[in-house]
Amino acid sequence: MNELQHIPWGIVAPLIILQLILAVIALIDLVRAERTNGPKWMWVPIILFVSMLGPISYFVLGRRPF
Amino acid sequence: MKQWFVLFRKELLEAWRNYKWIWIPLVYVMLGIMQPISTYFLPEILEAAGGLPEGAIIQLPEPTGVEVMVKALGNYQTLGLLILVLAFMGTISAERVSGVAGMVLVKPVSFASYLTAKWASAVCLTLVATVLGVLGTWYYTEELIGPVSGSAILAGCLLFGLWLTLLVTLTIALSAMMRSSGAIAFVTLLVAAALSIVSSLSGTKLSWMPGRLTNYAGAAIAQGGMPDGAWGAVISTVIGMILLLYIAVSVFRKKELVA
Repeated sequence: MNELQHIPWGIVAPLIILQLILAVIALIDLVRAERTNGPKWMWVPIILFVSMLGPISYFVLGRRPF
Repeated sequence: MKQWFVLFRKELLEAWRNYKWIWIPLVYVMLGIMQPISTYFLPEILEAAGGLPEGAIIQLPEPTGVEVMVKALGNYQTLGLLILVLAFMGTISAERVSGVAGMVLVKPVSFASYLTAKWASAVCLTLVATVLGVLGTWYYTEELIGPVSGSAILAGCLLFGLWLTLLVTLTIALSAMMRSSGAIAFVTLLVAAALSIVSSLSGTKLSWMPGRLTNYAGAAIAQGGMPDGAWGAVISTVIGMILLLYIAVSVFRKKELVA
C-alpha cells in the first residue's frame, strides 16, 4: 500500500479521468449501435483493456454509419 | 450562402452525433499531456523498469519546456495525423457508397457547397482539437518542466494547425475523387511523408514548401515568434488548399453519384 501513496495523484489523475471518459463514451455508443463491424461483444474488452488505442480503434473501425 | 450554413450546421451536428467532437479533442489532449508527464517521471520510470546494476548513475539532461512542447507536436505529427486521416477518410466516399450523397445532391444543392461545408466542419474540428491539445500540454509543461512563452505557443499552434488543415483538406479532396477509404488514407499519409522528406532533404532551399510548416512550428516555439521564411510556407499552403478544393469539386461534378 505504501507504493500507492508515492504516486502524485494530482498529476496523473486528469489523464486517467480522460481515459475513462473516452472508454465510457465508446461503450455508450457500442451499446446503442445496432450493428458494428465485427461482433459486438469483441469490442467490449478492446475498449476496456487497450488503453486509449482501444476506444480510438472502435470509433475509427468498429462504427457503422448506418 | 444561407443554404451553405444549413449544410454546415448539418455537418457539425453529424460530427457531434458521431461523437467525433468528443473523442478527437480528447485524444489530442491526452496525446499532448502525456509528453510532459512522461518526461517529468522519466527517472522514476527508468528506476521502476529495473535491470540496472546496483549503484548505476544515470545523468539525464534537464529537459526544457521548449523541448517538451516540440516533442508533443511530434506526437501530433505521427499518431495525431493518423487519427485525423482515419476519421475523415470516408467523409464523401462513404456517403457516395451508401447513397446519402445522391439523396442530398438531387436537391438544388451545388457540389461546391456540399463539399466545402464538409471541409469547413472537418477543419473546425481539427483546429479545436489542436488548440485544446496544445493548451493542455502547455499547462502541464509550465507546471512540471519549465516556462514557455505564450507568443511562442500561439505561433507554433497556428503553423502546426495549418499543416494539419492542409492534410485534412487533402483527405477530403481525395475522398471526393476516390472510392476506397483505405486508398484515400494511404495516399494522404504517403503525400504527408513525401512533403516532409522533400523539405528536410532540400536544406535551406524550398523554404516555402508546405512540408516545412512542422519545422517552422518547432522553430516558432523555440524562438517565441514567427520564424523567418514561415510566411512563404503559409502562403503556399493556403494556395495549395484552394487548388485542392477546386480540383476536388471539378472532378466530383463529373463523377457518377451512385457507386
